[in-house]
Amino acid sequence: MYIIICLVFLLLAGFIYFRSIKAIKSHKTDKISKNYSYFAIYISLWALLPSFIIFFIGSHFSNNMLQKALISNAFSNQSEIVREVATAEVLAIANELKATGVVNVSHSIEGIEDSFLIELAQQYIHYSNISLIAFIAFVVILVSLTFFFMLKRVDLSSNFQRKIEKFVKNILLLFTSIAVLTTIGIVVSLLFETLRFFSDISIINFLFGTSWTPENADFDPENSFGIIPLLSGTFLIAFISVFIASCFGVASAVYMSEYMSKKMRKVIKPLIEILAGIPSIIYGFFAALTFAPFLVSIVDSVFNLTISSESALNAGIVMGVMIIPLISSISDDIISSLPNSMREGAMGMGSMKNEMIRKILLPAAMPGIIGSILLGISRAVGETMIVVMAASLAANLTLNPLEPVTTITTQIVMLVQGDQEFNSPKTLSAFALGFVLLILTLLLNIIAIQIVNRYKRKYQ
Amino acid sequence: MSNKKIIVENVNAFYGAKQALFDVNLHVLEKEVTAFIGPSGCGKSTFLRCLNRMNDLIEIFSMNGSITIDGVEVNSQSLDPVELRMKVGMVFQKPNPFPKSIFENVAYGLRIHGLVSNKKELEEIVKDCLERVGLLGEIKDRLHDSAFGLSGGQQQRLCIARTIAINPEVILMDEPCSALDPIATAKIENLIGELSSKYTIIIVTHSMQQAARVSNHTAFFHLGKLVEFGKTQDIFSNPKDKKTEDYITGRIG
Repeated sequence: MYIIICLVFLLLAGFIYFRSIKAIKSHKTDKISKNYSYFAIYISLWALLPSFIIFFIGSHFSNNMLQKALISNAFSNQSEIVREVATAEVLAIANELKATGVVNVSHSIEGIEDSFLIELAQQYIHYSNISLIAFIAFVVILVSLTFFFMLKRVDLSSNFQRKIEKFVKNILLLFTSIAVLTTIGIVVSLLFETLRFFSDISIINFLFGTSWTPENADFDPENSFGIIPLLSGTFLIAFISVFIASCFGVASAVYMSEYMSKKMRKVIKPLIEILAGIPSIIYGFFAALTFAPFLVSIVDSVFNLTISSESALNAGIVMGVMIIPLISSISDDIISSLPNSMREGAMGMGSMKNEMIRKILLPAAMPGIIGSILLGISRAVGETMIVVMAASLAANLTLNPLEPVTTITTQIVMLVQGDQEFNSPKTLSAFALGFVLLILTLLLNIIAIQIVNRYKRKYQ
Repeated sequence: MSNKKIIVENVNAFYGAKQALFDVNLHVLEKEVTAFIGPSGCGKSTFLRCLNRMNDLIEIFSMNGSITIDGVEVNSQSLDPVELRMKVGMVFQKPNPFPKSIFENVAYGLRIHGLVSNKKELEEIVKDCLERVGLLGEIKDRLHDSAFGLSGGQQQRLCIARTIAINPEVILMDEPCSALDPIATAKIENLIGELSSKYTIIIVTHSMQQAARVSNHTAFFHLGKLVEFGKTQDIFSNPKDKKTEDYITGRIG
């Protein structure tokens, strides 16, 4: 904390100093005066950079080193567990001492005097204060040195605005690459865990096995992890939901873009998009508690069929409602972006409005609409909360929407729930499932985005 | 002497509160080419679109006055705009073929209006229409390719073929050559000449030379008003109004 305040002050001082000094010394035209500020910013940024690095590395390591040198050494003759516990206790005492000034030993440790713990804590505070001051002094000196060095070395006639431009560009690049690297990191770690799983279970059995029974993993691991029932369940639910969502979504898109007045559309479209903002867990308990009993009674009384309360139909319908706005919003954008000349051409031929929509507009918008439907499928395949709450846990291999099925996401949740050690095939299989899910959604997304883009280029 | 196909009386048109046409009176003779000329924004396109009620598609548009085609009031509630547009076809400024094959573009109108009873007849009429616009020879082998593969001039002729396929009586053309090169323009102009023996054609154009070349009658619009209307020959050689003369000689517009 202190160190940040110090740094800000130093930089501010340096900034003001450089601004003023350059203004006096300069003998160039007035265009340069803008350059002073940039010069000052430039130097400050350069001074900031090393101190930031020092700050992050230093604060991380100094406390660690202090802990090791001071506390762990004091208990070096104890067993490892005692050493860990004692270290934690000393740190706790030190924190409390710093915060409230009261010494309080909450957990006495066998074989170690309480007073010894307190003494260690006080020593710890003492040394950490010293290290902090040294740290601040170091940064102050470093920043000053940078200032001095820059003043000597930098060519004052260069264009500092351009240099800062470059600096900002690099900072933006840094942030972007962090985001990209994180994604890559996730995929790679997933991949490694998946490979670990496949060192235990053969990939053939995993991809083509028709029975998913992780609870039997201990006595028959090879035949417990067949992904086929999960895939069939996932796609059954996804198919039902996307079927519903595309019927409603495309219909509402056509109505919004072709029949509704502009004013109405401005009100109605956001209303539909709000559906997309409802957290999926709310859809989840709506599906499980409200819709499931309703569906059971309807199917029973109207069709005289038995339907499970955890049926694929139930989860699929509710998920479909969730996906409607995705499809209707994209389809609406695509139909609206069709050139007006196309509508005029059709109307000028004496088409009825519905002929124009069915025969000209929808075929023209079809690639985009298909793209939005694929995005909907990828959303449905990856959706978790609704199916965790409304779908079954048992992996049935069936395509009957009235029967309970489970999905990849539901199984992942089941596998990693609670305290687990990630070394048995049972838990590792979650990573393999995750990897399959990732590949599936990635492929669907890539295809969908390709289709939508190709379509957009055609008419713009 | 041909009879009056379209009679326009006291037409005023508005976009919201803005008046676009002031008290327009004119008539269009049957099986002749009538040209509307005038500077941009003078209301000639707006007027053209009144004739087949294309302005219905614009929410804020309104008009009053009387337009009759063959004695039938265009704006009456009882007239279905769909029927009107079958009778009054339209070709637009930018070629706007449908995103379908060349064949399907011409077949579209025939299909939606149920003008053919079987596939053979459909094919015959489509080919006949393409032949009449001089397109069939050029695209014989790619009838079923996308219409977007054609050149601009070919696309525009396709649009004309598509329009004559449903056998209208009047064809409205809204600057049909403004997006085309001189050679394609010449082809369209020849086509207009040929078509005028069968159809009543009204053409909006920016180019006075074009109006002089293709039309029998010319109407000059300026700032929403019909300034002068008469035989093309008279308008160009002996304009009565000062504004017409200024426009034709390039002093305004």
